[in-house]
Amino acid sequence: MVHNSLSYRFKHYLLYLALALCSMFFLVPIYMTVITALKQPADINLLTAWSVPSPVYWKSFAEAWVLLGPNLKNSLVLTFSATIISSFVGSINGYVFSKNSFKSSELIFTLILFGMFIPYQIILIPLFQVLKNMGLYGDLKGLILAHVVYGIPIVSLLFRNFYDQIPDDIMESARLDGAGYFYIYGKIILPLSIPGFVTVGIWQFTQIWNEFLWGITLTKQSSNPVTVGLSQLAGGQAVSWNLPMAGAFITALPVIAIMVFLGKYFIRGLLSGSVKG
Amino acid sequence: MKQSNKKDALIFLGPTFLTYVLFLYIPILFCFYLAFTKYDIISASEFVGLKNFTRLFTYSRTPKIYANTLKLVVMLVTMHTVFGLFLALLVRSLAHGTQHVFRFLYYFPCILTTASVAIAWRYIFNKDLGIINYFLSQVGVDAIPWLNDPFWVYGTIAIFSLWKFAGNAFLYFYIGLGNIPITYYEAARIDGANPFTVFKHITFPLLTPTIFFVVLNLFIASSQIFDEPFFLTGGGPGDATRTLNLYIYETAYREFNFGYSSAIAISLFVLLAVFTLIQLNVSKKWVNYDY
Repeated sequence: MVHNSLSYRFKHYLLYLALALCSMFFLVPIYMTVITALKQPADINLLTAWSVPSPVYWKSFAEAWVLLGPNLKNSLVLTFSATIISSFVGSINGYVFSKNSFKSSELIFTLILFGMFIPYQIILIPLFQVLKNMGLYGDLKGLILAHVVYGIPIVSLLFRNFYDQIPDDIMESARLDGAGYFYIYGKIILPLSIPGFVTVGIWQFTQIWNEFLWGITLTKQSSNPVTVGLSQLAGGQAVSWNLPMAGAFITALPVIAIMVFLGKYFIRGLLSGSVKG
Repeated sequence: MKQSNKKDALIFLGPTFLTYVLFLYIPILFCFYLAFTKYDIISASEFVGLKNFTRLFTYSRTPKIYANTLKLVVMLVTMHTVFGLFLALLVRSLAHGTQHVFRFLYYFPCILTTASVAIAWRYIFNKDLGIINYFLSQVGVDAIPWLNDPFWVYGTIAIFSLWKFAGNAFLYFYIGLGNIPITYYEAARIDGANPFTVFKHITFPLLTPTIFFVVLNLFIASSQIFDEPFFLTGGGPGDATRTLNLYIYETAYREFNFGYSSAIAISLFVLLAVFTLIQLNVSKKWVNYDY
């Protein structure tokens, strides 16, 4: 290969130019959020929209923190409980679908996957009704249940694909030693499932944390998750942009933190198992 | 499979499957029932026959809402597929270590909170304060009403949607490109094929299963589009960006007309099922599964 030819170098520059432009496209809104959140209301104007705040003004963060506090607490309870329950449900289902499939389990898998194609809104109205009749409408319990139930297709699929990569031989020898079904799951499969739990856990955590529509329809105001709180904070006759921006940043912080610290494992997990059937 | 294992497996599956039936399949049936009633939560539901459906087909607002949804589906499926593939081709042409950086960066917005980033974009698209109009003014272009003009709001939704969700299509294409055996490319290089020939005769045909998967996913997701109009435009100006899902939500939770809302939901569900079946059938003609 002639690596120094003019056309090669030209293509090379073009490639990096395209990469840089795309990166800018993805980064600019994040940059704008952070700098605007740190500006004094009086400093927010068109001519300096781009520039770094001076002096840095932290007050909007304190204010947003107070306003969103109760909602943040709701979201933390909701997201952690629903993610943990949902991941275990996925692991149990995925184990059956991958390692013990038989005719009726295949049918159940198809029926579960079908749920992925149903428009959210079609079940929102009756679900509201079902939860109300069961006395679960209004507080976090109903919302947790809703997230666990509608997470079943994706968590089962991700775990099935994950377990497909674990060779059957591992279980076979334990079975020959006389180990029972639940013993094999608990002692052999579960300890090997950590990467699966990381991928599925992050997936569910971000989905549930970010969710808005169910949050607003299935809970009363005192149990509203943070996305709903944020939309109220930003939706009122906000005088300036600094407060909504600070609120937006605080709201997104948990998912940003997870992605920054664990994103590597998450993307790797998605790459190795998500596109298969 | 031994019989006892089957029983154990069903013990594992049973509880989750039952809750699934209780909270998914029964609500779906209930939705079909509601579509034939007049119901506002407070008073008991009242059977009205096909009235909700006749209203749906005769009400002057509905054609516009179906057309908006269709317009967004066509626009977003095309743009996400092209942009996602473009990003994947860019990143795949890099050295392995560098790929990870861009893979992370381009996927990142997908995990961000929509409610949060919508605020950032509303600021960026702001007619008087937004940086897009600022840059346009620097090159002598008049301020564009990104959020208040029936034509430009579609541009706004497209830009926002690509920023927020293009990472999904990108990641699928990135995986798909990685699955193409490298030997094909080596053979092409030895034959001295130029990049366009390589794309046309190797990359594209071998990528058709991924393209189909991405298109179908995008179709299902964008026909249910809700977040973009809800957070950016509220369906406006007028009905300009009111989508089916937004309309379903509004008739149910703002007008408390649950029967009519269920009828619209069913129409969306039926359209979705029909189009998905058509796509599955047509796909046999162009998707290449044997390599």
